[in-house]
This record gives sequence, structure tokens and C-alpha cells, in this order.
Amino acid sequence: MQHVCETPLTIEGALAAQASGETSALELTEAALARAEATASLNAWALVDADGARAQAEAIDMRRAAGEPLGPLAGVPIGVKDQICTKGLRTTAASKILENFVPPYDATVVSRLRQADAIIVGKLNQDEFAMGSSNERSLFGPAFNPHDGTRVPGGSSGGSAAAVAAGSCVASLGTDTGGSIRQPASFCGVVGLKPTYGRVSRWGAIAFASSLDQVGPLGRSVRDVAAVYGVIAGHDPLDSTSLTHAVEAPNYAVDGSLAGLRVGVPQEYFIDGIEPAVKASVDAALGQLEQLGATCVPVSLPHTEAAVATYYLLATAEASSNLSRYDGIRYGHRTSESVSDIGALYAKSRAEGFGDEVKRRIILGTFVLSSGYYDAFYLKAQKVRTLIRRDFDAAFADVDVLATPTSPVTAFKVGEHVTDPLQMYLMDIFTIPSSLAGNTSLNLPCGVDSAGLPIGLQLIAPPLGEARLLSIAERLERKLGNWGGR
Amino acid sequence: MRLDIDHIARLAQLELTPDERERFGSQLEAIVGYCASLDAYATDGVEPTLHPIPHATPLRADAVGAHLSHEAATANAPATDEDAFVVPRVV
Repeated sequence: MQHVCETPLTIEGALAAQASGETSALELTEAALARAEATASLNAWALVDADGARAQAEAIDMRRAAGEPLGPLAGVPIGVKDQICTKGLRTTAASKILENFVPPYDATVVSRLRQADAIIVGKLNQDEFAMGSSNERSLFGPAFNPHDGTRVPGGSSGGSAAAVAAGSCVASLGTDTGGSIRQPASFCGVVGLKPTYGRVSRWGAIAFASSLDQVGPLGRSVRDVAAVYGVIAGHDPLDSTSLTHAVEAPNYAVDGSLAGLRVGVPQEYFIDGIEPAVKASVDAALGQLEQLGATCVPVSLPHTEAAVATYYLLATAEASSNLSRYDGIRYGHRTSESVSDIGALYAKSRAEGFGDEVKRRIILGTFVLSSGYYDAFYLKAQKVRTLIRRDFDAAFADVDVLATPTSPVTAFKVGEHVTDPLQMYLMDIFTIPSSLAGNTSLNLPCGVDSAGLPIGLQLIAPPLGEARLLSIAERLERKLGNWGGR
Repeated sequence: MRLDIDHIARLAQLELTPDERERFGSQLEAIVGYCASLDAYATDGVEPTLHPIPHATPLRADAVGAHLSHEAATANAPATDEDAFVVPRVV
């Protein structure tokens, strides 16, 4: 069954309709809540805060009536991945170990959404602790793809992508460690931006792999994603990895050509395993870029093949360290079994609270960091990460952006890949390298396969190149036009 | 490569069921075997990437800022006694 919203509302549209009095924040919120209910079978939401959202909307409408100035996202219904802390609103990272956790503070990105007068509709489903590519491993059960309810929405920010595609929020926040915004955006036919590492505050985003994690927006259009990005990006003194550079706004030239733009096409990304429809659609998008005046040139990122192994060594090592905080003492699940010592309390509480994939990654990460293996695996992976980063540096010396498929495949069936973890990891082969390099990248829908499933183009820009990246993507988006109900 | 799964589980403070020991053991051997493919890349003299974007850590003034109350900080704890976390006997 299809649940794609055929009449999507844009942020620009929502703001204009409120300004003209055609609608109100409360009406927009009611519409989002009704849509969430009508599409409940997608299981995109971990928690819908209907009363809280209505109260926020009423407050916005009253302030508008009183003539008060309002923020840049006033009255826009937004969903937040359950990986991100929301004050007073249960936040679980889709894990049993945080089943009853109610954060005492908002993540910086959530505070900034509230300051911009956005409506926080609720929390979105995901893979447990953002570990997965299919949103099948969740405390709340799997989420489903709005284009085909028998298929996955991608992951780990599956709910964030599915809710936007289904129209139960206008935009959403996800987190991306190795592709967790871009891949579900690709599977669900929406736009998703992974900002440069350090560009958006991670304070209050539950940590998975701290040298890779980034929060970013998902939306129905590049402009919507850019609008949310403009609100959440920028320095945060509460995050020691937060960059201090000024946030630049994209420039949407109305009839702008892309003459002079050099687009690199990494040859290593057009491999045998890629579905023919994906390749055809990405090739067509490259053709559109050339029609706009850009020049597409082949480039080489020779260490691409090393990226998945590098990523799984580094991400699991960091995860095993980050997840050691779940001890059943200060917050989170504690075993009800009687235990004689604190070690048993830790081991049993963690055994009961963590799911299968999270345990597997904690074990791998602990092994990678353990005495005798640290140099051979962890340090080696950090050095190969440098080689991968240098590949991008060399490519960006010659081209402005890189264009690749976001995923080698379109959305697969629920249950199709759950039994072989290594096979699932290889799904992320096109998104992981730019995460390791720390640069910025986005998914732009560029077509559908013969079953009507969305295909995504990934555009990658150098660190802090968001404004340029968004400008280019917006121009291409207009050229590509509508397809498949988008 | 054989992994000493019991040793790793102890380090990770994670109790595993016999089924998990068996399953994770063989899956991890496959994953670690795959990751050993990195040996093919020469990295002599290559600096490790500790942080993807070179950036000096900004320092703040050493002053007390906004912080949680004891009540808020202990509100999510499974067992508390006034403003303390309750744990099993440790000594």
C-alpha cells in the first residue's frame, strides 16, 4: 500500500499561507497529526506529542495575532529522530535500555528549532542507537516505506524519511554516522543533508560514533532542507567539536546556469553490484547537470573499497566506548534480577537492555580496542581513514562537487537482509567514504525504478561547502522536475 | 582468526547467552576477516585521522554555567536515596 503524500506542503508554502491568514499553525499541526494517524501503519513515529504540538501551535497563533515577530520556521510541523534529546519528551534511541528515559534538557538542535518557532510534532522511529540501514531493529518494531509498505524505509533515520514522504511532518531531523540520513532519504524519495562534521551541534544527540556523528535535516525539497539547516547549523559552545566558521546561506539564482561547474564522477562508485535502474537514473541526472552547463569528469577515489572495513572498525570502537555509559545506575534499564555485585548488575542490565545488533557492535568494538589488537585494527583503520580523506582532497583539487548514487539499490523487502550483518554493512558503501572524510553530502531524488521505488543521487562537497552544495542541488532539482508523486 | 568471545564480553561488561556466544563468535570472525583486508594498504608513515576536520579545541572561561539540579539529574535513575544513586554493595 502506498502512503506517499501527493500534495506536499513546503516550508515556504506553510509560512506564506500563515502570513496571508489562509491557514494557522494549529491547522497545519492538526493536518500533520491527522496524516500521522492515517499513515500509522508505516510505524514512522516512536511518539506523537499531539497535545504538546497543539499547545505550541496555539502559542504561535496567539503571538502572530498579537503582532509579535516570529521565527523562520514558525508553525512548521517538524519531527525529531528519537536519537535526539527532547526535554520532557521520552527519548529512547529505539532501545529498551532507554525505554523510560525522559531527558532533562533539549539537544541544542531542538532548542534552535524551538527558538525558530517550529512545532515539534514528536519523535521518529529509527534503528536502535542508529545502528542499521533498514530501520528493522527498533524497540518500536520496523518502520515501512511509504512507496511500498512491504519494503524498508532505509536506516537508521528510517522514520525521519518515511514521515516526510508520507506528509506527517514537513521536515525532520535525522542523524548520519555512515549514511543514516542520505540512504533512507534515497529509499523514501526525499532530500537529506549530512552537514560537514562539526557544522551542527551534537550536544544532546545520543552518541554512537563521536568522530562521525552529525545531525542533519530531511525534507521534500532542497529549499526546505536548507531552511532547517540554516536554523540548526552554527557554533555551539556546548560541543567541543563544533566549528566556529560562519554559516553561509545558499544562493538560488532563478535562471542560473551551472556553467563552469566541474562535477567529478568517481569511477569506483559504478561497480558491478549496482542495480541497472540506479545507474541509468544517475547517468541521466549527470546528463541534466551537463545540460545546465556543468562539466562532468571522471575522477578516482582509489581507497573506496577500504571504506566499509575502516568504518566498521572505527564506528564500533567508538560505539563500544560511548555505550559503556549505559550501566543501569544513573538512568536507563536496570535488571530486576537479584545480583550480588555491581559487575553483575552492569552485565545483566546491559544484556537485557541492548538489542542484537548493538551487542554485536559493542563486542566488535571492544575487540578492536583490546590489548594486542589495537594497533592491528583500530590504529590501522585510522591510518586508512587518512588515505580515504586524501582521496577526497585530491579529487576536490580538480572538481567542485562529486556525484554518485546514494545507494547501489532501491528499497529492499523487510526481512531480506537481516540475517547477514556483513551483507547489510556493504549497503552503505557509497555513503560511508564521505562520512569518514568529514565532508558534506546530500541525497537528491533523481528518478524511480520500474517498480516506482525512488532512486537517489548523492552530491558530495568539500568540508563547509554546504551553501554551494545546496545551491547546485536546488538548481538540479528544478531541472529534474517532478517524478513519481514527488 | 579465533576470537576469545568470553574475554571480550567480560571487557564489555555484557552477559551473553550461549546462543549469542555461538552466533556472535562466527559472525565476528567473518567481519574481522573482512576487516583484515585493510592489511593490503600500505600505511607506513601515514598519520592516523583522529579528527576529520583539523580544528583547535576552543576553550571557555572556567566559570559555573547552567547546570542540572540534583532532582533533575537523578529523575531517570532506577534507584535513588535522596540525591544519591543506589547501587549493590561494592566493598
